Amino acid sequence: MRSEKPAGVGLRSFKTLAPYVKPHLWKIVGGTIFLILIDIAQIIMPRLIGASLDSILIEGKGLSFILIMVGGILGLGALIALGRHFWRRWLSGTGIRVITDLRNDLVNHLQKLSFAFHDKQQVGDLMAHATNDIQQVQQAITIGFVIAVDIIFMGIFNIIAMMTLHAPVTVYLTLYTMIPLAVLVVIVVQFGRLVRSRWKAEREAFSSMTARVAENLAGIRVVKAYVQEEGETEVFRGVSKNYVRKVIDVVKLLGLFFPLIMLLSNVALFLVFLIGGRYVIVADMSVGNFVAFQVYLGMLIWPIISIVWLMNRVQSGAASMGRINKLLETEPEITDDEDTLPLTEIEGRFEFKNLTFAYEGVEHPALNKINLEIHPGKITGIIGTLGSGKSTLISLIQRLYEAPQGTITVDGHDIRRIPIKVLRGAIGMVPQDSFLFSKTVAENIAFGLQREYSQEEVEKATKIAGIHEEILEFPQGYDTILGERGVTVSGGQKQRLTIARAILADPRILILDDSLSAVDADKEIEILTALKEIMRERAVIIISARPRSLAFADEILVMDEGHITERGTHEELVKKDGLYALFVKLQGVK
Amino acid sequence: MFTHEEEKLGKIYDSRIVGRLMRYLKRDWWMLAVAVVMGLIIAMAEILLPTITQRAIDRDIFPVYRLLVLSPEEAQPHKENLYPVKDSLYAVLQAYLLKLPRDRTRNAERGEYYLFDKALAEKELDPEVVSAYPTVGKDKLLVPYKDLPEKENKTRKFPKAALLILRNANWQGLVSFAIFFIILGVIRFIASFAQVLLTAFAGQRSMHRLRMHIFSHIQRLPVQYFDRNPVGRLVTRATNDVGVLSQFFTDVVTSFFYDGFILLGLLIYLPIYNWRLALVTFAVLPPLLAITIIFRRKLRDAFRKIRVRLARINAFLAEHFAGIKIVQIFRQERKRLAEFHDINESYFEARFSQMILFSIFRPLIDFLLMTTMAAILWFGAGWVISGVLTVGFLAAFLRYAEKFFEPIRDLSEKFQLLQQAMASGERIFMLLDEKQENYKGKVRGRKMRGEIEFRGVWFAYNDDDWVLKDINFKIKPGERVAIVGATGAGKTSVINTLCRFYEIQKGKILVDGINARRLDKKDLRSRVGIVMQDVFLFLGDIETNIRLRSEMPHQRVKAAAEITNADKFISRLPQQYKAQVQERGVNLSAGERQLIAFARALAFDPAILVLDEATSSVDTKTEALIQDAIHKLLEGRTSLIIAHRLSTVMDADRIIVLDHGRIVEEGTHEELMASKGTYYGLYKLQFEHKI
Repeated sequence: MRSEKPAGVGLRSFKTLAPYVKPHLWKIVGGTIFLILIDIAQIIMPRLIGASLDSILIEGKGLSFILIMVGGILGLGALIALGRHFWRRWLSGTGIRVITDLRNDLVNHLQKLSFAFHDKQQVGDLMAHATNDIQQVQQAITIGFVIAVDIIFMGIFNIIAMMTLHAPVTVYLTLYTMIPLAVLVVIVVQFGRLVRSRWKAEREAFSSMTARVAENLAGIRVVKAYVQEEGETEVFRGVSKNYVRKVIDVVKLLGLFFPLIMLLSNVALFLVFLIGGRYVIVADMSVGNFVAFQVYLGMLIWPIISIVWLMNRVQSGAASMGRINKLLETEPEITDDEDTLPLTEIEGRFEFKNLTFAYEGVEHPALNKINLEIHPGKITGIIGTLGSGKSTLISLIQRLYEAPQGTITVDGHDIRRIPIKVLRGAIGMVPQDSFLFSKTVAENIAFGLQREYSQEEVEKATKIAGIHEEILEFPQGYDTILGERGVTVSGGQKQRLTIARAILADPRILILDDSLSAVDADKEIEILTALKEIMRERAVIIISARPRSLAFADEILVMDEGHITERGTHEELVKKDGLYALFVKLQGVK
Repeated sequence: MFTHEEEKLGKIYDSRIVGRLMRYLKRDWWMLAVAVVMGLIIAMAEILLPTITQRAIDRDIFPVYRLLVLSPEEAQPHKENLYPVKDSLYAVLQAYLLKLPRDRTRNAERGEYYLFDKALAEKELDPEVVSAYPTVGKDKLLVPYKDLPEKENKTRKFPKAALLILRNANWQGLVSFAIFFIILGVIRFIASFAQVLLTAFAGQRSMHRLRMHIFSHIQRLPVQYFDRNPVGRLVTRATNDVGVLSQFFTDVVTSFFYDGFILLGLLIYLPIYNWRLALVTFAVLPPLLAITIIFRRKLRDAFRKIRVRLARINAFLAEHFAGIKIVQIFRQERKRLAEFHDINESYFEARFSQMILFSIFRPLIDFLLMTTMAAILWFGAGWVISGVLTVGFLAAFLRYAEKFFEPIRDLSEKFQLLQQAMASGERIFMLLDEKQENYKGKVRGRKMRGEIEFRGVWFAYNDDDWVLKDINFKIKPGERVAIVGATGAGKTSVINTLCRFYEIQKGKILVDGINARRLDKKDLRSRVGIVMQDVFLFLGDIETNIRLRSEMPHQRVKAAAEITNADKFISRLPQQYKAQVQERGVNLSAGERQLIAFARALAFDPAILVLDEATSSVDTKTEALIQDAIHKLLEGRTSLIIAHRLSTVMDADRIIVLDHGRIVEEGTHEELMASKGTYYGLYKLQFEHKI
């Protein structure tokens, strides 16, 4: 969705590009010099043609002179060709380089932004910024620059060349032709304004059409449930027709615009024909100059037309640049700061002191007065209803969201003073919604490693996660590509793959967030028992809906609506005869 | 989000796609046909304009007389156009020279002259000047052209005013040429305007039809399709992809015909017009064709490379941002960036090498044009001197050479548009070829009592990941049944299969004793009212959100809202039923949204009501309103409720307990509580301490 801004306003937004452009400055200077050289060569060209024509006829200079002229034309032609090659190489080349670097930095910046940012962002929007918007910027800076240089130099050189062709008559002739050209400029500017406002209306109609489709699709289940397919189609017909009307409005103008420009340039040519022809008749001007003048006139029309084009390019480029700037200006909410301690690793003692936490813009706290201690060698189990705050608790341990000051300490320090890299590096997390990348099985499992790894290590992890045998049955075993473009794996397999990923990362703290829900209960116990073996030295948090999976935990928390309602060991809780006991009983019944 | 579908390599030109596209033209084909004719007219005007200039130069602006030696026999047939100077020397208009045999024109002397009317010259010019020049023919004065202009710091022998009178016929001729020129310009203007408008009309109307086709097609796709394809991608098909095609229509189709006419026109016209210069101009064709063919292939490869690598960037970004949390949790930012850097760099290389290709192709073509112009000038000059060509032709051919190169010059832009259009067309038609949901059923238009039976139903969303395993239950008309179970127990799947959003793999679902598969889907769905957990509200006013797209009198909407307690808050809104609902209904509270959904369900008066209770907590007052609304809504209807509220289960005639896709218990609240089974546990966990 493009939004049009009034001219000039957005130009400042391109300032962001300055550091990207700087290293290539000499290329830009070189390219610009070539652009100007081309303009000069183009301006000389009609002179040579005119002189050749005159030499044939009146002056009787003979073929040797023509040969010089033809040689001159070819020489200039070669210069122009060379110049056009090099400005492309240097100016367009720099443009592509600059936006490639910008895209890199944009992606790097975006990936550092906090969860809160990504919760609100649509993946598609981010992609559009990194591709379409950046493309728009490139067009604006390269083509925009080239056209701007052309308009200025070609325009000025051309008018000078026209006037000096055979003064004083060509001065008058230039002034005459300026009449339709002045009208042309006025039309270009006025039309430009009108076209832009209609263009805006068209863009808006397009946006609302897009919104309508998006909305219809988002609510497609309601549409189908209430059998509204035909009604929806009829409504869309209106929206689509409205868009067509707006397009036609634009086309009516543009359809008039370009032919009108041609007509006016024809009027200018007509004047040259009539007045210039008269000058030739009364022998005030040579026929060669008459022809050359016409060529100059033809060369002057295009810079004028491209003004509109330039304005549009630069404007939509500026709008895109603005959107990119906005993203670049978004600061990661959670970062290290001057209070961050110079730690390189943590032991893994977490303490929650009377923690109460609510998400941004939500009144109801997700966690309420939580007191908890986690340390290496302790297995903590958490069980609770949907929305009881289990996952929030886990997020806060990883500092994905900011907990109130002083409510969480790590090894005795406030969590905010631990370097984020160190903190998250120490945590091996298996989230509820397991996500696999379009990489091989082995690469996915080794995803958390910063170092080289061996196949044995990978297999050791998959064996603990109870997925090794199944991987061997995949089409290419450990080299099978997963993810959306790869083979589809079942929910249970996905979960066990992500567990293997966490195991291989060898974390100080291992968190399983209901990450075996799609695995059957017996298998879950099997995996957990294997895990227990290797996690003896570490802190472990297991969230599960099945109390049996938590039986060996050192402390079990029962959570409900952000509160810890029961806590203790399996035995203690069973004795308490509360919710937990009930669960255990139910499992026994099954 | 973007799958390999975007990575597919389409053809540059695919007649199948274009053929399918053209079908959307329907009755508007004549517009396109007229537009093509307009293109022909424009091309003809374009081709004619340089010729007019040539004529004007040669006849009126710069008519040149040359001196020629001819024998009397040779002179005889051309007497009318020859002006005898002396003996066998004649003055003749250079343009006329072309009509004489070439061996005669060899006798032409160098030097250009103009013939003045002697009587007029005597009147207008200094007698001394007149007497300095020889008289030719009966009454013409032979003056070399080089004597006409002003010489440095000397008074002119031929003053301007005198020249204008002496050459009045030339001036008149020039005026008529100029008028003809401007008339052609106006014709060109009108034809261009008509062409643009007609193509736009034809194109936009066809694209409207295509868009409607896509939209109505999407409406009828099965629900699974929407599970697999993100909304964004489908929106792109109906809007952006169609946009690319409409650009193809307006920019490529018309310019294709126009360029074709210009090229073809010049190929035919130029040899007739002047074969000598035509030959020089066409000499450039072999290298031009060779270069174009080589570059076309290279460009196509470059475009493909770019497309594939851009798709790779898109795929990476889609996955990267979808899995950003995992990346951050495992601190893989640096590694992922390095990966992206490589992909981005390979995209850069593709773009750069394409740019380099252009930076060779375009200047090469430009240089070829310069060479052609130089050749025209070189050969032309010789021919002008030898008398077989006039200077007007030279000027005209310099223009024609440019015209000839124009279509080739912006080939690359059209190439890109064409390529994009083919890609968009392919994606659109791939979507349109997707199988629609089958609505038709053998049993239609029956009134329903509202009896539901699941008989040995097995269902899986994919393969044999069974979500429902051998489900058996029967609901009598008017009975109220609640389904309870943990997350993932299969509750929602019961609803999904009942409404045939998804088709079951094994077993039977019977409605009024009739297999649901035999029922017309529209009938089935319009008799089953569904209130989903997440209430979906559309942009628009409240009234539209209740009656949707059906034609329903306001009274009925209001009545439904009153019964379901929605009217209470609606009537307090300043615009009442006309109040606008913002995107996803964010300007309404969760409770209000639910009440609207209830009103919606009630307004359609279904025989069977399916309710997936919302879990979101609302304030006590609204909760009471919701409870009351549910109560009234279910009154006298067969209902199936996924219950999250205690009061709902308590009110149910029967409760079905699902666990991992199986029915594990069934009975009334009291019975189930007494048996202390799964329900008892769920009750303790889910309901007890809730309202």
